[in-house]
Amino acid sequence: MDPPLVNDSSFSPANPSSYTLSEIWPFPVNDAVRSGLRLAVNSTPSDKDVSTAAAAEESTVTDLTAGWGGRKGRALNSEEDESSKMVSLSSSGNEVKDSGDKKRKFCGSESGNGDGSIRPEGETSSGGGSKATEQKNKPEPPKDYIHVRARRGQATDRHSLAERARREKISEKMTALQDIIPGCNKIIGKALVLDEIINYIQSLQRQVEFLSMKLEVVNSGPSTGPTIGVFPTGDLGTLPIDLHRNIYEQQEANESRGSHPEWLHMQVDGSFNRTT
Amino acid sequence: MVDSLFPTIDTTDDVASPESRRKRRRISETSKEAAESSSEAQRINEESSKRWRTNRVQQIYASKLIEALRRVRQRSNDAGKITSVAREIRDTADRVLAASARGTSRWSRSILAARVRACLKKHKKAKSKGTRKPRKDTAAERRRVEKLPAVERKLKILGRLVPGCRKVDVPNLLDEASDYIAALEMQVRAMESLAELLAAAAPPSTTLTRP
Repeated sequence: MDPPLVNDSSFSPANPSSYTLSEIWPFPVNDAVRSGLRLAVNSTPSDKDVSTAAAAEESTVTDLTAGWGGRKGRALNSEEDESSKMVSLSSSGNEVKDSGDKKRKFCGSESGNGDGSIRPEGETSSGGGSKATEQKNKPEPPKDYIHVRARRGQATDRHSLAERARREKISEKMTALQDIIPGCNKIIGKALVLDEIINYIQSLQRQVEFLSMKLEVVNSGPSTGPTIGVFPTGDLGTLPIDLHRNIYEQQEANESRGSHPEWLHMQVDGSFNRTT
Repeated sequence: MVDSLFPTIDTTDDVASPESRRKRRRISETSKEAAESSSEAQRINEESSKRWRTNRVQQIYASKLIEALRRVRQRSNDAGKITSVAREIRDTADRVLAASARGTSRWSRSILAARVRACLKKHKKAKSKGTRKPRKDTAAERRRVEKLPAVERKLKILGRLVPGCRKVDVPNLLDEASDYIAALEMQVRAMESLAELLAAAAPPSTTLTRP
């Protein structure tokens, strides 16, 4: 007779309270994982069993994490982390659960504080940053309106944060201007970019003046203007009222052909490349 | 007990989660920031250039320009004095440009306000020129002014170019400058095509040489 495929002895014992979590799960456990495991593991929990199991788990977990905390040896963070670990273990708040959910990626079970503080410590010790600034670098400074993430190695007091936000705003606007002005993409440095901006505005204003002179000549009768032959006269009064539509149709046609009147290029500074 | 601990939980959680998340986010952070800044720049450009590139704005500007130029022509004919018509045309064009800005930008308000002030002064027959007192040209003053960092000097020059933006702080000045540039481009395009149209529609000139 074949032995039944499923052997009773191969099963884990049906009574859930006979083992603790630490036997099947060697790592210290966060609340969320623990609760999840508890549900999976204890198929038919009775209340008393759950509570005892929970108590047993807590005790084992605190033993493990306490040992882990002692093992760290970098004294500054450990006290505060241990107390926070106690806090996280004894509560089942949603915040801790959230951090637990996020930590689950690593190996699913490390307590949030311990993991988080060990890893950058290991890095920055090689980087050689001071302990005080390490501690200050980590907290993300939540501000009221502007949320700025403090990078490693940068000061996080309010003044420098505000200054950094201001500087970033200014540089954003400078890059926006760089996109507008032709030929400014390759230029690096605020002073040179500002030079180009000033040149461009001046050339645009000169164009407007030149065009207004031309319009004056075109506008008036043949009595004014030095050389009438250059600019043939036209009469504003004889223009049809719905001229504005025609103006831009012609402009569009010109641009599609890619032709600009040659005289206009005299005004434009030679360094610009017109992107037409 | 748990309730009293919640505030500490919040802070420790803030301590804990970002420092572990930071490692994962480091790689995507720089790219995200670059994307953010470039999209911000695009947004600024879009809103200023789109404002001045819509057909409707252009049509409004062109029709107002024609009307204003007609009136200028009439006024110069009636008045009979030889003023510089080109200057009037340019001022008119600027005013029309400012009017089509609908008062949302600082330079437009300054252009329109300058004309109102000039009219008031003409009415009141004020002899004094203005409130601009000339800077004392002492050598010490000039040295101090020239020693300012180059970027700040250029920002001052930019502030003088954009009308009404002398005492404006840097980020607003750059915003005004981008809006002003977009508006000027539209103005140039409008006047150029108007001049071309007039030249094309003109009867051929008979007087080729001056008498």
